[in-house]
Amino acid sequence: MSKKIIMGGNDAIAYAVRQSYVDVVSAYPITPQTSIIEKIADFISKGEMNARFIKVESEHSAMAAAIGASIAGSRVFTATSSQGLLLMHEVLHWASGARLPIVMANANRAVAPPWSIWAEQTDSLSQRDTGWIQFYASNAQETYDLLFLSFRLAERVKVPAMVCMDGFLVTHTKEPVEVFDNEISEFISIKEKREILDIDNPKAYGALAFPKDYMPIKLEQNDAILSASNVFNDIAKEFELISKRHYAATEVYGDSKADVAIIATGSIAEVAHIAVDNLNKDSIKAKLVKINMFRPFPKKELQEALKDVEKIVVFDRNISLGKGGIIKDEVAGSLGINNIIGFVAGLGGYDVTEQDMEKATKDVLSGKVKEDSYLWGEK
Amino acid sequence: MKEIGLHGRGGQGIVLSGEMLANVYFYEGYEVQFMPSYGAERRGSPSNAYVRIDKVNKIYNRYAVEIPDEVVVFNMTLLENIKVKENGVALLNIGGNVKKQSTNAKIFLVDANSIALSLKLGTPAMPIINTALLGAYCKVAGDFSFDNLARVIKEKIGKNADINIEAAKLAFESVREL
Repeated sequence: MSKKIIMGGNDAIAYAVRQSYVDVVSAYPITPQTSIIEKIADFISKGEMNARFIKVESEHSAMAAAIGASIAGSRVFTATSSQGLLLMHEVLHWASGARLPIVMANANRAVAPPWSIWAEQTDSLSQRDTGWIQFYASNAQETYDLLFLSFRLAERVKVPAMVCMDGFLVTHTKEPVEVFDNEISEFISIKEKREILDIDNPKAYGALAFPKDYMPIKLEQNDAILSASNVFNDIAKEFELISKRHYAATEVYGDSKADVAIIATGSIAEVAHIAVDNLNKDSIKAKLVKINMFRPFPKKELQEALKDVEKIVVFDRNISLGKGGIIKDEVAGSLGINNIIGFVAGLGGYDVTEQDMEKATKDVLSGKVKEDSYLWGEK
Repeated sequence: MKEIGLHGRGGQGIVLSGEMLANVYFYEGYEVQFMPSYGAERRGSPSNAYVRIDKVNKIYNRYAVEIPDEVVVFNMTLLENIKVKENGVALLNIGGNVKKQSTNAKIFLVDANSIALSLKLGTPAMPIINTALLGAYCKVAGDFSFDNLARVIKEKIGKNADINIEAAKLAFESVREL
């Protein structure tokens, strides 16, 4: 039987990792993430968790070790925050490019300088192009649940996944969390078959790809990440049968016929519930559209949730310096002015010729291409 | 919703007290949230923790408590910087008397240091006073049972639970209003 225990987001992550049949944990401490890996190390040393803990000298090495273990077929977890995540940046691409279903918790913390240990999402949002699935949890229960969902999702689509949570406001704020007993075992023990390192059948990893090979590999990776939207809904349904808790890429709270939508993620999305209630009391028809999954970006869900509103107000606990709030920009890009079409072109040095561009432009004008596309394979 | 502030110095068990208080109210059936305030924490520096409770509604507030409804002051050297709502409650850890403060808050006094030392909890330099103060707060607040406090002390403190429950009991009995 599940039971409610008072715990913070970090505790909840550690408990979920303990229950997730994780084989390897490789991590380096950093505030406000440290209590996750302290607790996991404690579980392992007490024999409550049968996993190997790899101590490393930096976050870059933490991810490198995670990659090695994952290629060897292990289920791998790591956790980091802020500067640590930034130090991992290069290897984040290696993990996703090798299609390794590593799961990571990130405690969202502002980036230095000046030094700060407090909440901000610029650290993980600036990793949005690394090919990782990204979730943003608003409370400790969500961190716990999303960790299980992340393993299943990552392993199904062969894309690594990150569960992000605001430092202190989610990681250390303690509240009742419903913790499973054995009822989650069947759900989380499912491991997908995948290509792993086999010493009897050696293969090379990380080979050079010429332009004609690079671009299709990247597009395949992109398709895999995009497919995570639908796959997530399937896995979330399975999870709901066990937990009675519903998860989706976005969720809507408040007046369904709202004139104004508030968009937020993480801890701000929690507070927004109160703001929406108060606005509704003031006879302002408002609703909250909470973004739980940022990669793949929930474009369709947002288009649906925002189609009838007059105004949209976005609260971004992050900043793209020289531009502004990152989520506001991404939402605006998804709703789209309808006279702009984007082509992804020339990845990995693939040639982009004037003929390609002329044809693409004509296809847009004739209406043959109606939405964002790739410029590829037409030479 | 009620917001409770716990104010002391690093090493006085502020964080553990807040966590215990959240657990007590949880057992009483409240929605609870425990929010420690983290900064450059170290032994001796000011340390604050906040508990939010609500009899009915889920707690969505996820930011620092500005002015609590009720405060527990572990260390009197911090008194000047502690805010409490008008007509709120302040429980002070003090041996003697205190002059009436410029506040409408109801003030309660308990000598948690002496209680702790009489039970050999901690040292004269650093008596362990958090369970005594929770016992006194149980009497002052009047919205949770001593039994649930004792249950949480047992769960969180383990082998020294009995002596801590004794400290809580002595404080419960000796706390007085100014």
